[in-house]
Amino acid sequence: MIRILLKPLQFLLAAALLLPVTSAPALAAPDARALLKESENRHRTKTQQYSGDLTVVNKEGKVRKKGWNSYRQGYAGDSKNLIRFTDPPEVKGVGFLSLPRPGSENPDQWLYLPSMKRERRIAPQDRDASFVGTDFNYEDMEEFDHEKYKVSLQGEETLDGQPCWVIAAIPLEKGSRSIYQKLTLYLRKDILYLVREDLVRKGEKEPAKRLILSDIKNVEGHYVAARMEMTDLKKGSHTTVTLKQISFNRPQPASRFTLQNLTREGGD
Amino acid sequence: MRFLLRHLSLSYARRHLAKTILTLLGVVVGVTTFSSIKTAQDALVVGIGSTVDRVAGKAHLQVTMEGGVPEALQERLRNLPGIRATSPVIEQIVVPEKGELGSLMVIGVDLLGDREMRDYGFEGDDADLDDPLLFLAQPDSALFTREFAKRAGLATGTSLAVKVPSGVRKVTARGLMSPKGFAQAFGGNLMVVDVYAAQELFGRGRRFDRIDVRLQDGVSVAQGIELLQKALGPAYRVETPARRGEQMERLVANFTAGFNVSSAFALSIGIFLIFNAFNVSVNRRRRDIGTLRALGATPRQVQLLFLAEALIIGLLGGALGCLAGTAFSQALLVSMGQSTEMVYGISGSGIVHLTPAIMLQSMLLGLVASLVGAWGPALSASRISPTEAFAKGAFQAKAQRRVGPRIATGAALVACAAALALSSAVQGNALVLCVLLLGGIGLVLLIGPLSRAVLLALGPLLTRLFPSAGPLSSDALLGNPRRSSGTIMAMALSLTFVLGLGGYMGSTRLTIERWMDDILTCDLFVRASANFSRPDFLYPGAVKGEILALPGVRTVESYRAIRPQFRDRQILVGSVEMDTLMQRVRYDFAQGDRDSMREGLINKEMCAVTENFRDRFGLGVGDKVPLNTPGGMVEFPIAAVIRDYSSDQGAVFLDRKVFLRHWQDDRVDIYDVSVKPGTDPGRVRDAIRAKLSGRYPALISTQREFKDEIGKAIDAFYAVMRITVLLALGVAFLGIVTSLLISVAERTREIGILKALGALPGQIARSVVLEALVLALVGLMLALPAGNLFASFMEGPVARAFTGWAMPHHYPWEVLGQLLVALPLVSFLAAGIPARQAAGVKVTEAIEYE
Repeated sequence: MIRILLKPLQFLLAAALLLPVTSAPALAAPDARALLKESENRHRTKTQQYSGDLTVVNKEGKVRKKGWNSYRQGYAGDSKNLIRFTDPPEVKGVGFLSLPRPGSENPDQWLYLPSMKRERRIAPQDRDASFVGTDFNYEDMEEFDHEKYKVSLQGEETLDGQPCWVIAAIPLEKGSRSIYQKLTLYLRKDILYLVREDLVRKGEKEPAKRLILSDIKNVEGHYVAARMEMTDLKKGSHTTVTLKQISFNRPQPASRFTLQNLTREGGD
Repeated sequence: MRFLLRHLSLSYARRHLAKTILTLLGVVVGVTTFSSIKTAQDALVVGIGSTVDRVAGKAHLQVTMEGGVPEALQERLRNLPGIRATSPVIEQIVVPEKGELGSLMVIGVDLLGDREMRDYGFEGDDADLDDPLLFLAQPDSALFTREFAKRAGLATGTSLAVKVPSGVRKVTARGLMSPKGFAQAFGGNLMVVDVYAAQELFGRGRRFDRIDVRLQDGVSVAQGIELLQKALGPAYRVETPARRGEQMERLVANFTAGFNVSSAFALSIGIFLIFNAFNVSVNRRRRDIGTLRALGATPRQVQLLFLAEALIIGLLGGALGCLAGTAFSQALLVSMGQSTEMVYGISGSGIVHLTPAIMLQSMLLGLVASLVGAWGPALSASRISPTEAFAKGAFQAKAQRRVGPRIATGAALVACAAALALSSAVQGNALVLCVLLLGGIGLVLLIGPLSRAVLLALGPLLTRLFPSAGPLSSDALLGNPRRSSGTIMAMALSLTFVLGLGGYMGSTRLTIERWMDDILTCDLFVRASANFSRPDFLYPGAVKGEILALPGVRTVESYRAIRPQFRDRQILVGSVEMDTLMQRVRYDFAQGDRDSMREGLINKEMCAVTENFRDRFGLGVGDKVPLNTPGGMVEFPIAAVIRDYSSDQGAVFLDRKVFLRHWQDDRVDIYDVSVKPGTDPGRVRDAIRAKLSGRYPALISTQREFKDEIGKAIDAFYAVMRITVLLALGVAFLGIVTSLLISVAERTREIGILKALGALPGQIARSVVLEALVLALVGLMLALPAGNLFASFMEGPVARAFTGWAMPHHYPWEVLGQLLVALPLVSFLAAGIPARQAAGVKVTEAIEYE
C-alpha cells in the first residue's frame, strides 16, 4: 500500500524514446517494463511526507476514522517508511515502520503499540492480515517494486474519460513471497500515473480488492493522488485515505526510520 | 404373563404404592449416582480435549517449555523449513468479579497473525471486532462470546471486572464472537485478548505458554516433530494438540477414578434395596403365589413373573435415573472442574450431554441391578408349594438354612480380598474392582448371619431398657430375618463406604497436615498466584534481595516449581535454596539421610526425589534422574528419597543454584520468608506488601493461612467424593424407610391385636422408632470393622497405586462421631411415617387384614 499511500505510483511513458531500440513487435505496442521504469523515473522523489485521514466503512455502513502522519525516504525497493497515528487519542502514538531488506526479500515491518511500550514484528505469514482493521493488508503497505513482477501490457482502457495502459503484473517470488497471484495496473497515458489497481489473490480468478486513486494534483512539481480508496470486493467494505499537507524531497532525519525511533514516546 | 402382570403385579403395586415407589427409588438413586458421575466425568474429559482442539485450530504441533517459551523462539521457528505459520498463545483461567458467571478461559493470541492458525476470524461473520487498531492499542481490550456477553450483560464498549493476579482489573469488550469453532472452547466462557497484553496481565514476562505451529503442505506431522525436536533440542516439548489433550486427560484420570468406586457403591446399595423389597413382596404374596400354583402355574412361570416385575422396575428406574442424573451432572461437572483446576491447574468446562452410550449403560445397570436384586426372591417364590403357601405362618416358622458354610465362604472371600490387596498380583483399576467384588460378596454373605446373631444378643438388652417397645421391635426384627438382614446389609454397606472413604480422606488430610508442619515452617509465604498448580504470575528473582533488605527479615528462600513430562507423566521439579531450607525443615527419609541430602544437593549437583517418584519410576539413591533442560539432557544423581506430598505424580528437588545454572530462569513461584526472633510477622507482611505494591501482585500468607489454603485444595479434591458419601447415606435412609414401612404393613394384624389387648399408640410408634434405631445401630456395628478394612485398602494399595503415596492408617474417629450423631437422627426421621402409620392402625381393620 505504501506504493500507493506513500508514493503514488508514477510511471513514465517512454515509448517514443525507446522505439528505436526495441524489436519489431514493440513497434506495435510499448513495452510494459519500459513504461513502468519510465513512470518510476518520472515520479521518483527522495522523500515524501503527508498527513492522512483514514476512513474505514464496513459493509453495514459503520464508519471508523483515524488520522496519521506518513514519512518516506528512498523509493521503490529501497524505501523506508514510517506511519504514526495521531487520532483518535486512544490510538495516538501507534507506529508502523517498514524497512527494506537486501536482495529481493520482503521488507521488515513492525507495529509499535505505545500502551505496551513494545514493537511487534509482522511475520511474513501475516502479510495477508488486515493492516489495523483497514481494507489494506500488510503486503499492500510494502513499497511497490516492478522488478519483483513479471509485467506485460494487456491493452488500453478508458477510465473516467482518461485513456490508460492496462498492465498485468505477476509476482516473480524470487526470495520474496506475495499473497497475490496477479495485479492489474491502470496507468494514465498522459502522465503515466497509476489510477487503478485490481488485486487477485492466489487461487482466485476474480479480483478480491480494487484500489482507485483520484483527485490527482500536482504538488511541488510532482503528481500525487490526494484520495485513495481500497475496496474489498468480497466483504463490501472500503477504506479511503485522504492526503493533506503533502510535501516532497524534504530532508528526513536519518534516525527517523529506526526501531529506536519507532519505540520512542512521541517519536515522529 | 401379561395377564398375570396386569392382575397380580399391577394390583399389588396399586395397593402398596408407597413401597413400590420406594423400591423404584432404590434403582433411581443408584442409577442417578452412576449416570450423573459418568456424564460429568465424560463431559469433563471431553471438555478438556475439546478446549485443546478448538483452541489449537489448524495447528499441527505445539511447542512448550517448562516455565514458558521465550519470545525469541517464534522467530527461530518461522525461519525453519517446513513451517507455514506460527502463533504464540497464552492461556489462563480467571474468575469474573461476579462469581456466578463462572470461570473464564482467557486466551491470548496474536490477532495480527492468527488467521493462518485458526479457522476462526476476528472480523466478519465470526466476530464483530469493532476496531482492530483500538483493540491492539488498548491493553484492556477483550473479545467475548455472544452467549457469555448476554449472561454478563456486556455490550461492545462496556467493561467487565475480572480477578487477575494483580487484583481486580476491568477489561473492555471490543467485540463479540459468534458461537462456533474456536469460540466454543471452554463451553463458550471465553475471553480473547492480545497475547502481548496477556503477557502483561499475567506476568509472563517475555514468554508465551506455547507456540502453535502449522506445517507446510506436504510436511507430515512426524516429519515436523522430528524437524522441530532436532532444531530446538530436548528442553522443548513438541507434541500434537491431541497428545497434549490426552496428557491432560490422563492427569485428571486419578481424580475421576475415585468416582467409579462411589457409583459402584451407590448401585450395589440400590441392589440391596431391591432385594429387600422383592423379598418382602414375595412373602406378602405367598397366598397369591399358592393360588397360581394351584391353578397350574409352573415354578418357572412364577419366577418369570417376579423377574418381569423387576425388569419393569429396572427399566423405569433406569430411565428416571438417567434423567435425574443429567440434572445433577451439570452441578457435579462444575464442582469437578473447580477441583481439577485447583489441584492440577487443568480446566475443562462444558455442557453435559446425556450420550446414548451413557443412557444405554445406565438403563442396563438399572435393569441388571433390579434383576440381580430380584433373582433370589423370585427363586424363593418359584419354590413355594401351594400347601405351604396357604398354611399361615408356615414360612415364618420355617427353619433357617445352615449358616456355617455361608459364614465360612464369606470369611474366605474377605480373606482373599485382603490377601489380594496386600499382594502386588493385580494393579490399578483391576485391583480396586477385584478387591471390592470379593470383599463385597464376602461381606454380603457374612452380614446376614452376623446381623441375626447381633439382633439375638441385643434382644434381652432391648427388653430390659424398653420393657414395652423393646420386645416388640426385637420380635419384628427377628420375625423376618430376610427383611432385617437385607436392610442391615444396605445400611452396613453404606456405612462401610462412608467410614472407608471418610477414613481415607481424613488420613490423607492428617498426613499432609503433619507433612506441612514439618516442611512449611517459615513465617510468611509471598506468592503472586492463588493457584498452586498453575501459577499465573511469577516474580523476578531479584525481588528476593528487596524482601531480604526489609527490617525484621531473617531469611528468604525462592521456591520455583516446574512440571515437566517424565516417562509420560507430569512430575514436579522443585528448586529452593537448600542451605537455609534444610536448617528449618524436618524431612522424613525413605532412603538416605539429612546429611547425604544436604551434601548431595548443595555441593554435588545431586537431587532428592519423593517416595512416590521412587516407587513409580523405580529410581532411588544411587540412580540418576535424566531431566531435559534448555541446555540439553542432564542426569542428576539421587542423594535421598523423602516422603513428600507435593505431587501425586512424583517430585524431584534441586538446589536453586543448580536449577538456575541449568534452566537459566530465575523466576520464582513463592518466597518463603522467615522473620528475626521477636519480630512480628504481621509488620513484616505489611512492609513486604508496601514494597511490592503497584509493581507485583502479592498474596502474603502467614504459616497458618498458607496451610489452611492447602487444606482447602485438599478439600476441593474430595468435594465431589463427599457428595457421593451423602448419596450413600441417602440410599441408607431410603432402606430404613422401606424396611419399616414393610415391617409395619406386615405386622398390621399383629399391631391390631396388640392394640386390642391394650397397647397404646405411643408404645407401638416407639417400637417402630426403636426398630429403626436398632437397624441403624446393628448396621453401624457391622460396618465398623468393614469400614476400617476399606479405609486401610484405600489408604494403602489404592492410594499407592494411583498417587504413589502411602498414607499411615488413621481410624476415622471423627466420621464415626458424626455418624453416631447423624444416624439416630436419620433413623428417627426415617421411622417417622412408618411409626405414625403403625400408631394409627385401627383395630377392626387390622384384625381383618390379610
